[in-house]
Amino acid sequence: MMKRNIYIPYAVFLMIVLLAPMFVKNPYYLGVLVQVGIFSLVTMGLSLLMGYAGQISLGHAAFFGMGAYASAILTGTCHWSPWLAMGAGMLITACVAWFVGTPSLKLKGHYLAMATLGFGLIVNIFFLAEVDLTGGPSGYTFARIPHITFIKWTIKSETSSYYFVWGILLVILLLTLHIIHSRVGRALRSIHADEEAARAMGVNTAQYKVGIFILSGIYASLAGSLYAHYIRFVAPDPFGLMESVLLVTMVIVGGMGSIWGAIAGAALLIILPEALRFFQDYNILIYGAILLFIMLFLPGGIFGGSQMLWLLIRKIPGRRQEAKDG
Amino acid sequence: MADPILELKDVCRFFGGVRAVDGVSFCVSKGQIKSIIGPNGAGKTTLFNVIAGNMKPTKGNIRLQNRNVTMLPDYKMASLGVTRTFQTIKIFSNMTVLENVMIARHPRSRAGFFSAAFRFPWMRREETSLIRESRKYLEFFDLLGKADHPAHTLPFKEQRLLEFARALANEPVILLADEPAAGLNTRETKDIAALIKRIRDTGVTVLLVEHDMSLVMDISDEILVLDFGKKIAEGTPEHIRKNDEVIAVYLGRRAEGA
Amino acid sequence: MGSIYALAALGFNIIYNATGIINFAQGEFVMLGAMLMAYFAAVLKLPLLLAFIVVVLLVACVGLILERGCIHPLKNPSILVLVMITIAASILLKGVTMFIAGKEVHGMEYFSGENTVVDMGGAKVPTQTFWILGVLGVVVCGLVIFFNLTLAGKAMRACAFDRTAASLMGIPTKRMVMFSFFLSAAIGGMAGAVIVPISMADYQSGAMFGIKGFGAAVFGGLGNNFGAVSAGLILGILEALTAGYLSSHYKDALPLAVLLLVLFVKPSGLFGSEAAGRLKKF
Repeated sequence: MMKRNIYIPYAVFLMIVLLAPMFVKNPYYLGVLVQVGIFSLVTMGLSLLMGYAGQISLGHAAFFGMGAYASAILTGTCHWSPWLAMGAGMLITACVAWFVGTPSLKLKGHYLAMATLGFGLIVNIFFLAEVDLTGGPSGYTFARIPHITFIKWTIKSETSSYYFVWGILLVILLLTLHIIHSRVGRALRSIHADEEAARAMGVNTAQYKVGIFILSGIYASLAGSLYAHYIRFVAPDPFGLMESVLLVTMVIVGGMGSIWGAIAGAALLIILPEALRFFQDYNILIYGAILLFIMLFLPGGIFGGSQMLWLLIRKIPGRRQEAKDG
Repeated sequence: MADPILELKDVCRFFGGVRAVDGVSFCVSKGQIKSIIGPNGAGKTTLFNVIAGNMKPTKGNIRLQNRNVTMLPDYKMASLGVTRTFQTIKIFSNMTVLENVMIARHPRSRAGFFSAAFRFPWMRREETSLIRESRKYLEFFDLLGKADHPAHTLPFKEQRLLEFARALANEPVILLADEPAAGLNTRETKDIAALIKRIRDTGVTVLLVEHDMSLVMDISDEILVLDFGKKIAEGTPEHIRKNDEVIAVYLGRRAEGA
Repeated sequence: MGSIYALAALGFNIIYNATGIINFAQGEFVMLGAMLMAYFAAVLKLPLLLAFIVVVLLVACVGLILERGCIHPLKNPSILVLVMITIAASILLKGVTMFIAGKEVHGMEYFSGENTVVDMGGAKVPTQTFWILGVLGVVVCGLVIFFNLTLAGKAMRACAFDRTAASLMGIPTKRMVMFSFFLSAAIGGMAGAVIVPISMADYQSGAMFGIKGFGAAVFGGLGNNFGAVSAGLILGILEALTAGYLSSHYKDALPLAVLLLVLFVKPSGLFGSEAAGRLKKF
């Protein structure tokens, strides 16, 4: 892998994001893209955790939900400013992530998967059971969640939502790319490759694992807040076990170990069901089948698969070069 | 003994009823190459793990440069200057050769999540100097030409070298090398021997666990012999060569085996 | 209820012992057993015993297909892949069940007649409880006999202990893996079949059975069958107590909280000791 400039793909991506609304005029499709943006935020964090640090989390929808509920309750019931509520949500999530992550991340493999899964379910039960706070199974209905205001614009239309969500995403993406290509990113990847060796090099692996868990939780919480202000209604349903699995699937489909893959995976798994709407109820069936297929035949994800292909193609001239040198 | 870098006193490590390391005491002086030898299962690797902080000793005391480090975890030991290489090579296969060495500079740099995300100017300067220093270590081991190769594409011997480069980049006070010649042929083993001497000459103390007797006898300043977790002899190579108990342990076993 | 967790936990243990895999689809076996039982007994009106046997065999076959189709083709899979594959399989099973049986909740009457109860010191205990306990008892006895007295059972224990050594001794480890899935699915199916009259069959119930069963398995020390049964029963009682004294909302949360607590504090479980060493294998 050559040392690549991270800003060139970023600039290309920036152009695509900025220009997309010129081609997508239909507000419905724009809405789908807003959702892609929101989910990309979650999968980016999860990709840091899974693809870079090599840890599994099957409870990330809980962090997503915590952000959404924090925003809903603090703006609706307590009449806080949306921005303050968003920050508070991120803070709460970070604390919970620290509290849960510290003991969880000592576990490995299946145990870690089960622990995070159990945590996710508990949070979901909390959303369902605390009717006075969350509205219970029917969702938060005590007040309408307000629109968010950015400087002087109220984020109301699909177009403004699009620019708002993707604008935030772009900022976070840049920060994330910086983290990956830094001392922290290297430390995370060293944990993935070999924890014992990483510690032997002086990397405090436990601290880094919890750190990245908290960070990915904060991403999810931020996405949850954006979701709450965009949909303007929250119910426990979209923050359950299935959603956690869906998030992990997005990361895997996109290809682990690539932030771009996380965005691509989110896009694919949001757009595909929309395209397959006429299957209605059977999407659970199709979804299971897709997941199984990918795990069986393409465990590297779409990006991984295409990268492998690319490497194969590149290798051929490379071999000739070596032959000449020799 | 002048200037002990590492001092073990009565160190024990038991697994249930098994006494893997049983009351071992010794010193390593500055600038020495000291080797630990012994038959299979004598507790060499366990002793290494205890020193490096991977395992806590059941009993006993370990001092590094006159500081009690008995209960410190491994990553702390690494930042205090105890660096190890592994019996089975443990390079970070998902990174480039250069990045592998850069990881070793981890305790000597300080960028965190926040400063990395915002790329403060000092952090960028740190990164540049990190790369410069790391390349220096690669040069020492003749790996500079492959700095940008993925680490897992290196041939076996070069992976070993990379492991040493990485360990040295950690700027250790003492280097623990666990069977560095494992899997290498005679010529490559000779190279490793020369390399370890070169490392010693840069001022790093070396503690070695090795099976290859010729290598041990050739480069060690002092040798420690373990059998069933206990120290049975300690001294210069000549001294060890003549020690009856050591001969009994080694030759006796070999006679039984044959 | 505890017996069901105990049975599900046994299912986890069998596969874990033979393969080191945690089968996230274990709960779906229970769900499948329940759905099929409701269908055969309540809709087709087959005799109870016949329905029971057919259900168990069918679910066991599903387990077999799962192993052949999803686990067997993988070479050196990572844990993440295994987790996701069994999850994918569970989603698929859920989807297929919903597709065929619909979203409605199915039920059936108690094995010994509609709503029969036995008066035990003032508390009315549904007769079905005894059926469930009975099945658990039979399964436990059966497993004890199987693992200790038959050649196949001994071979499976050998596999669990050291797979390489077992295969060197001429034990077909691959077939043992297959058989472990078969057996564990069969037990899951049994659990499902006896629970229908009490808790109804619902295509979505699998996940809960699965995670609680896993909770019991971990609680009792993963791989330890005696521990699994005791822990399953304890968990069931705890759950009933929470529902009675605290809040019925949180009755599902309690086993989960116990699971997390055990994982955090003592991952080797209440009754496990050697299992702690196995953790390192991952």
